Amino acid sequence: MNVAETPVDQRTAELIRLAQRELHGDTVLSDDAGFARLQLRMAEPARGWGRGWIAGVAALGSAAVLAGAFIFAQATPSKISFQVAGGALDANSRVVGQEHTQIRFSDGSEATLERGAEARITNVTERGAEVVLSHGSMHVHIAKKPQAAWKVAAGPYDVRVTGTAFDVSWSNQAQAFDLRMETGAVIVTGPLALSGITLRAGQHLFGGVAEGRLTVEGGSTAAAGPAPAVAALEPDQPQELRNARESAVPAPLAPSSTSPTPRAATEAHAWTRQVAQGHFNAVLDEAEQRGLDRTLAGGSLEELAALADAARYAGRSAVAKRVLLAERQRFPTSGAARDAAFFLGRIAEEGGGGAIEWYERYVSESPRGAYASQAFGRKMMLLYKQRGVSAAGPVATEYLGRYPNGPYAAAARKITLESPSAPKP
Amino acid sequence: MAAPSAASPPLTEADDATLAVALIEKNVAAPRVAWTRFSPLVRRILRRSLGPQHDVEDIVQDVFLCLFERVHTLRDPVALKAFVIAITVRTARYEIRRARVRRWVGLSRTAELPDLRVVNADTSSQHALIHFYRALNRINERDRTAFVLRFIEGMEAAEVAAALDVSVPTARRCFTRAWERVIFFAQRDPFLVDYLSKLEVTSTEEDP
Repeated sequence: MNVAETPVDQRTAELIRLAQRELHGDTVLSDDAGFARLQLRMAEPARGWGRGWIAGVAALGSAAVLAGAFIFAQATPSKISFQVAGGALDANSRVVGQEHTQIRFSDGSEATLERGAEARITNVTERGAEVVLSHGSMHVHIAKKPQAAWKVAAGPYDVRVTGTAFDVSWSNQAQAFDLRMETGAVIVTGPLALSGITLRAGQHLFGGVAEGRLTVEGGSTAAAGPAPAVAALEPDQPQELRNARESAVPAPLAPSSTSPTPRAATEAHAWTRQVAQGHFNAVLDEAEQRGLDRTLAGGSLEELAALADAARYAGRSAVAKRVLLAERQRFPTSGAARDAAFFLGRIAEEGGGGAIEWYERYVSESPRGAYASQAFGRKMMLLYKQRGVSAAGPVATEYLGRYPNGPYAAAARKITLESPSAPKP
Repeated sequence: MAAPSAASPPLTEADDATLAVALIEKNVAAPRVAWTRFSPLVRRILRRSLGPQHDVEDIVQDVFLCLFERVHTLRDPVALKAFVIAITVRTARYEIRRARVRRWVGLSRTAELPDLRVVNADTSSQHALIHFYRALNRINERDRTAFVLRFIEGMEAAEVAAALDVSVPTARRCFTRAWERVIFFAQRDPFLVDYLSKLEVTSTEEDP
């Protein structure tokens, strides 16, 4: 089946390609660790409902599934066990890294020690364990589980973990800590990070007491969670410690054109970040708590842009329309205000009318803007639906001239073929 | 359990039919070979069926436990791969139903960023994926699974029909209906509309 015949088919095909690209069969867990877990489960005594469980569950119907969901939510797993591959565990639960030394836990988590690294396993529970890295480097992968409770300690630093993978190292000699995130999120506490630093995928934290600072690098889109250090500063702390903790905050985003106060800028960045993380309702709730009218009248351009996105993505069209109109009124020369015309057209398409006029305004203000081909195409389709082929024909011809391979090119060709006045492509 | 024969070629190089027989005969080396050979396939189908917010590692293991338990019912050893796919699909459908029930009874988690491996830091594409699977969540699980197998996994209609245990015309109706529903929901999702619009602009600008 040809899945990319029309613009909507092309868009669906794009989503399919995205799923094919992102959802693959690879895993950060090694083949050995995965099979070791499987063997452990194979060795468990057979459960009463083991045979034919799929057919059985399917037949039980929704009531049983409901009950199963509650049982699943409250099930208590057994205590985690572990084994050491490529090395040995001494009497003090200590492992020294040799060639390919790996500590494999029964829940699928694993820690790979570099040669010479030394680690201990303590406090093993049914939900996790504590891996203490005395010195050296190790790669840690913690299997993502509900209520997982793992802790990795490296020197004086504690890393609280749920499901994640990262490289961590600690040097006793240099008193240096280094953590590179691969997936998931962790909270690091220790010297210069007493109130905790949240790290997410792609970020790198390094430094320590000897250096007098901790630095976070990278991960601009997967932002560090609650900004830890500045808010937690205590006035009686030494200046060098204050400086060090401030340095643990990720670099700020570029200042907005309206030069807001530092506090307002922080809030605007927070909203932008929340929208990027999909927390649309949280942004809307904050704006409503502050007062929507007050926000529209006094908010920075970045705040309004984030609020407009949150409202559109949350399906709050009425709020989105007010914010977009405020953007256009208060910041008429900004790029966001010009883009707002396109979004107002989209909202108008859902109800209320005026979409064609908004699309025309967008194209006149931003003839080479990011949404110009969309605005042209949508205007063409609306004209075709509302006023027929004679009105849509000239727009279709213009569309084909500008975007011969655009998403509406196939529709434009059909319209030009139907149109008696339009020149044939 | 039967020990591997010294005269036969290593099981790792054996074809699916030989592996199936080894599994049925409880050859001690067979589970490991089956795991290495089929776990990427099983994991991929599960991820694509369940979406980016689902942790599939435990479910992959459930599939293999079921495979080892039921492999003796396999009539044609040559069809081992299809058998694995059928178990995977049934397990995925069960998980979809269970996830739906969990959403109904309020046990689902809030919408967090997916814990995808860091291939790129493109947050918008990760969110687009979440929104895409939100659209799929609104389709009944048989049609949704047919859609995933046909369009994301790229299976032929006959393979989809075999995996779902339905006739080929029924499989065709399922994935065609799902295709239309995906389009319907995707067109009404502002995030997806924005995301795809930006992609179209990029691709148009890249055209000669």
